Amino acid sequence: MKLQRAAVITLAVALPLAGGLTACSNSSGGGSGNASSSVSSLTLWDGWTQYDATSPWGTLIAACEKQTGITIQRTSDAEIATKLLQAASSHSTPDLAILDNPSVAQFAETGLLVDNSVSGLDTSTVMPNVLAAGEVGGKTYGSSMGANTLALFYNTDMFTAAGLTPPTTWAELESDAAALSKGDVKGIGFSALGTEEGTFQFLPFFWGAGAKLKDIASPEAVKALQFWTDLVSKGYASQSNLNANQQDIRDQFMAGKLGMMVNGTWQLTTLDGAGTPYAVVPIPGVDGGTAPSPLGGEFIQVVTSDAAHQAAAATFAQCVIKPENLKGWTDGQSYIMPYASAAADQATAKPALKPWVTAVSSAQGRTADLGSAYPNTSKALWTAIQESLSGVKQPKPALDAAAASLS
Amino acid sequence: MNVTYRRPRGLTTPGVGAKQAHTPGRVLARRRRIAGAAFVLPVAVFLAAFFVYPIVRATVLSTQDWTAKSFVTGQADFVGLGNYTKVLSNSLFGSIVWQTVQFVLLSLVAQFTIGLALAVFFTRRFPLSSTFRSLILLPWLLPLVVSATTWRWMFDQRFGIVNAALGSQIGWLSDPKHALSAVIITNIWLGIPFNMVLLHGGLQAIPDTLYEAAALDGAGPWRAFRSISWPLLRPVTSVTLLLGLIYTIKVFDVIWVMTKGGPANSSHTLATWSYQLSFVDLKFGLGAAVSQVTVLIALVFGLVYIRAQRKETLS
Repeated sequence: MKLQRAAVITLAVALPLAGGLTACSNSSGGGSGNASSSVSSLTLWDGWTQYDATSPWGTLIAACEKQTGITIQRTSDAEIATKLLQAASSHSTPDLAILDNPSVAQFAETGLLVDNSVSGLDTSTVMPNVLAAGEVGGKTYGSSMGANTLALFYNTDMFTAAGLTPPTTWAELESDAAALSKGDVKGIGFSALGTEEGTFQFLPFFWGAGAKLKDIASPEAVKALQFWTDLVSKGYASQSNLNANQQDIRDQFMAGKLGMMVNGTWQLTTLDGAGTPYAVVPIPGVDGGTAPSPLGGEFIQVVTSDAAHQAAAATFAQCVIKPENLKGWTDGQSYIMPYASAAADQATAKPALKPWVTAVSSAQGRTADLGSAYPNTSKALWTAIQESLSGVKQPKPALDAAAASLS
Repeated sequence: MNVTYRRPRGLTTPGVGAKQAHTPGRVLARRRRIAGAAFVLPVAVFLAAFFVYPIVRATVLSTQDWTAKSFVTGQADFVGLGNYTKVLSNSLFGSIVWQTVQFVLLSLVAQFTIGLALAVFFTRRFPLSSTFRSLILLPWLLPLVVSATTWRWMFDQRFGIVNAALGSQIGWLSDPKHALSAVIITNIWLGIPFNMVLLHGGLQAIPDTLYEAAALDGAGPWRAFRSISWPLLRPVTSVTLLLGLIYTIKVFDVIWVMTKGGPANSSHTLATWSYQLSFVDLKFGLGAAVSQVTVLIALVFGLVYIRAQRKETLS
């Protein structure tokens, strides 16, 4: 009797284990071994858990399923990068993956992605500065599903009341911010969070000062960090930016507590719904002009598997990035089309997007200079930003230490 | 030489006791051994699959240069203790260990003291006492992410209720001098119910007759607490503190939601640092090394506890 029970328990423990093992070995590879040339079903992973089949993304997939005759099994996971790595170690990767553009270089280097010369994905009409985010070691991986970037939002009511004009240089930016800072209103908001988000927001100023990611302790870099630090120490920006993400900054702007903010295209829908009177200008460079801002947006990628699956995946990806198919998606996201003529059409159809089209046309991929070394540099930068803005270190020693940590 | 075979006293099992082993006895003995092994097997499999394997794997990982690429190739260079020397020589290591010590000690002491005070308070019966007691459990019932997010808003420098109430402009979560205090305060609030429940249970187990006798002898409340509650509560106290210690060392969600270890790494503990290295920087070898150090620290305290327990049972 007792023996029987023990045996049952043993089985109960052992069975799921065994089941787990066979499950692992069965699901190896996105159908490796199936060498038939007509692959009619593909797996696709993305990070957009908020979008269901009725969303613009769902509609885009459905349209391409119809056009290509390929059915898609879609899986969404907010932590898609780590999930992909896990899948790689158990050989159960999908056929297609949607990756945020700065992580493309890192994944390309692991050998998990198929470059376009192999897959046959045609990207000849994509804007070169946008496509550069997918270039690693002379090869291009995947293509853009729409671009976004940062620009300067300002509260038009506050500007009119104070008799100000949108800034075109850093000096004007600072004097505008000074004039707007009154009571619990701060002149400008930006996210200086201790994550990639903080570096992302800092880059327009970093590049706008003429600094390069290959030398993060250059005098130009110090100048940029000094500018941010001064905005905080003079009280034109809040120190709470150190723990605020871009949504927090948007909320403060919508509540009328910020005169200006650095933020991206993806906030437009929320802002329009809130009724805050605002307008957008590109972020100025130190002495005028438009500062290069970091490119945002996702790339669709063909993941390594057998030739038949890669070919089918490339066919599907080609359909997704076709301008007429992509349009509904980019409109829904307030993304800018990654094709020059289509982007110009967007600006004509919706004049409010004009500053964004300008900003995207001069945007830079974060990994364009550094490739997979970017994440380390980014971490060094946000650490220096946090140290300097919180007063732990001066801008120069902070950046010197950051540069030293990379060597 | 005179040899007598004598059956050891108390041993009545024929299969084992019979020196002149017959076949049926041997079969029975073997069967019993198999039965014994079968009883132990489920536990052994469970422990091996869910405890031994992960620990061994993490230890191996901590000696490898495991990067994103290693997931695809399955290959990672063996670096011996290289990850450990890298972690130990990292300029952040000292300050993060010190922050961890502060976080754990202050959380533990305050949670325990407040929890004990509340537990003693609730041993009295008064109208609505059980209602209030259940209300205090609330922090425990809420998902950690919800509590931590709420505290993040409350501590907001510009619009948070904490600064509004104090009339101050303290950068609770944006000033490296205060961020650690803010996460400690939150963690204390979260830990009070756990301490109170355990200690309240312990106090309930002390017979009322002892207090009655003490009251007859003229002992006041303080005297009764010191001479009856405190000594009789000791076993519960040590369990509470040990569990509290282990829970506090591994606290991750509270800090991650509130500050992500910032600003300028000022609120990292070993737990959040290990996560950051592994899952944000994708340097899994380094992350594993840090987590091994954390496990080692928890293990030391666990052993100290077992030792103390054994002494107590012996005496």
